[in-house]
Amino acid sequence: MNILIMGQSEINGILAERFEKRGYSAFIIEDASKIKAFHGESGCFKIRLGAGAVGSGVAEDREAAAVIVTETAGKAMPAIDGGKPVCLHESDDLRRIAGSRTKYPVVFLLDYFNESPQASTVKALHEARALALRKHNVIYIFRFMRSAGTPHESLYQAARKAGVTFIKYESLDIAYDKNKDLFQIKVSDGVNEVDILTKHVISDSGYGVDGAYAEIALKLRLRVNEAGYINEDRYMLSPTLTSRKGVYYFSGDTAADRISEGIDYTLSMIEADVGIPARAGEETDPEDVNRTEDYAIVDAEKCVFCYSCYRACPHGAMTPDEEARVMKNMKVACEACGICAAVCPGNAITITTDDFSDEREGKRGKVKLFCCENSGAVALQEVLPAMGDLASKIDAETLPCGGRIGFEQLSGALRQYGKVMALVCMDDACKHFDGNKRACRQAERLSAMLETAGIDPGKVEVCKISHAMSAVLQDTLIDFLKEGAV
Amino acid sequence: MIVAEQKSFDEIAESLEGFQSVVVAACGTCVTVCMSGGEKEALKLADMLQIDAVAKGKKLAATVITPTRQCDMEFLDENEEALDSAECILSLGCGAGVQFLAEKFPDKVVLPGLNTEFIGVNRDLGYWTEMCQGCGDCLLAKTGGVCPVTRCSKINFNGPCGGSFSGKCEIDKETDCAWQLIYDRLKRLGRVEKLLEIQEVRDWRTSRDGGPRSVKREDMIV
Repeated sequence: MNILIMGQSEINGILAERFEKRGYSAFIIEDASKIKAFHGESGCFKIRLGAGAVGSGVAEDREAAAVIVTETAGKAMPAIDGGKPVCLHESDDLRRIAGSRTKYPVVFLLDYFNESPQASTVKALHEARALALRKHNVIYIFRFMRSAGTPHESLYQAARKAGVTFIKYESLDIAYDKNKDLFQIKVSDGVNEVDILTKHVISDSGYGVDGAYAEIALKLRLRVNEAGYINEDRYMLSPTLTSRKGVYYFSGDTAADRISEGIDYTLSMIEADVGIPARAGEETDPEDVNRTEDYAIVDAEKCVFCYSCYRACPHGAMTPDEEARVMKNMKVACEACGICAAVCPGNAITITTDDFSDEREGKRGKVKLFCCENSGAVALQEVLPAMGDLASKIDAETLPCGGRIGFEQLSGALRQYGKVMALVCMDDACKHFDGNKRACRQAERLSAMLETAGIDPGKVEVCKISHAMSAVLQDTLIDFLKEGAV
Repeated sequence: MIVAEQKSFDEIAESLEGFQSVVVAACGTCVTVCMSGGEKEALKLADMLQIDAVAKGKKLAATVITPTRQCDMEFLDENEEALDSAECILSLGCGAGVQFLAEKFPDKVVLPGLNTEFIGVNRDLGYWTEMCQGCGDCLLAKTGGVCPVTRCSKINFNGPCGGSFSGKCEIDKETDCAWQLIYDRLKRLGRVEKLLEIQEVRDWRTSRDGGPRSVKREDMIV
């Protein structure tokens, strides 16, 4: 199995060596501009490389079963109020701090300039523990402890045992006294507030979110979040995953033992995705791989080849069929979220999960709910038994994602029901990134048109909810059923 | 491609006042791509018209058809029966489509559902910008591929006006100065000397100023 390693990181060579020892065959592309085209899906990516990309003087085509994007450590640290914090990734500076002695604590400050990637958490925990073991007073201030459920959970425990003090902060103010060369930190965890004076603030500015990294994301069509990261360490997304199945993220920490843990974790993800034990040189037939049972179907008669689905798909699962001049769906890559179907202006896409059974059975209730299967549908199942007679007023349809909800579903439902509501995930919790926001946009547009027509715009509502918020949903539905023409 | 936007709903609803049935004619080409008049938009609009009619106690039946294009008569012929059956036709085609439908059905009221805006390009999902005004005498070879007719607010032909500042047009700080773009492009291409070729006063009869235009390929007409 070929693995492509991409990125300008000092760990690329080590990674390639480790993968090869495990029976994979790895090749490295540092410069993303050498990639002329990137198509395909997990198990079978097809990469067109420009001349010089892999040492040959000519353009060539390569295949890879998986891609690993490695990150460089950003070392340019912004100042804080004129004071210079130490970069977490500058080993010389860290060694200097370890060898120095002051009466002040050493402060590790994560998630300050922007959200720190997991690699910074791992590095910071190691360094904090090391300093604590050398009898420094160490305070670790953070917003997110990204170790839960990962191989790094033990790091956090070890750092605590070594004596590191952890403060999960809600608000933070830092000032720098130039005369005393001291940082003054006022930090609150939401309950207590504490003042800290320190000479050493160790922080991170974020990993490699620069032009080179951004170009990788563009070439591989990866979703990036507002801070520019391709992996968001979010609930639904493991730290090594990106928006595109088969493309993984690997943090740039270079200590030997941590690379092994990281590689095992990444390998297990690759093997689970590709679905077979990986051996060097073995070609994977995409039909053999594990894939989502459901996928999108493009009606070639209706497709106008406008590229809307290609751009909207958060998982890179649409690819142009150049011969037929239509889009086609790649089943392995497809997560069947339905965003493509909702966006398609030609009504050319359906999802295998599309179910019009409610329409076939006929309308029963007074209001129609469109529920994301990851949030609204789960919460609704818990709520309905507790709602007594009110439950009979509700007809609900489950969709793979809020993003599957199109204006026409809402407007079509409004022709039969007094009111319509979309139950979607909260921001940053959507498994398909912006599906919930797309649903909101559709509802907003419908509300605006209703208002233009002099009709109550409140007939359409969106409720952003998590699967665990059944109590909130119950209150919301009771209000929804009370108001308006129901 | 032609880029259009749907008219506001109240304008459309008002134009249908007095009618009890309407065929909403989508168009499967340009306006599908610019998400204003394709089948999906037509279905949405038909739903809204029905919702509006019920809310106001009126009677309005709306059906949707989607000819591949409204600017080729054969596609209208294919849908003749459906189109002929309605009291009126609401066309979601561009201005050309609306007029062609009106020609095909001279005894039927044909209403526009869109405002046709420009010839443009798709910059990103849901975002189109104007690039061409169909002036009939393309000079892009001399301006490095940037059109001063469309993109210069004053349609200057020989360089910027005094209002160009930091690459922006004086009418709006978000609008690029076309002549800055032209200069930058020609410089990049090593063809700045093109700017020394003075563009004489243009004969605008090739544009709409000369009246409605037509193109005939005599070699194709047997």
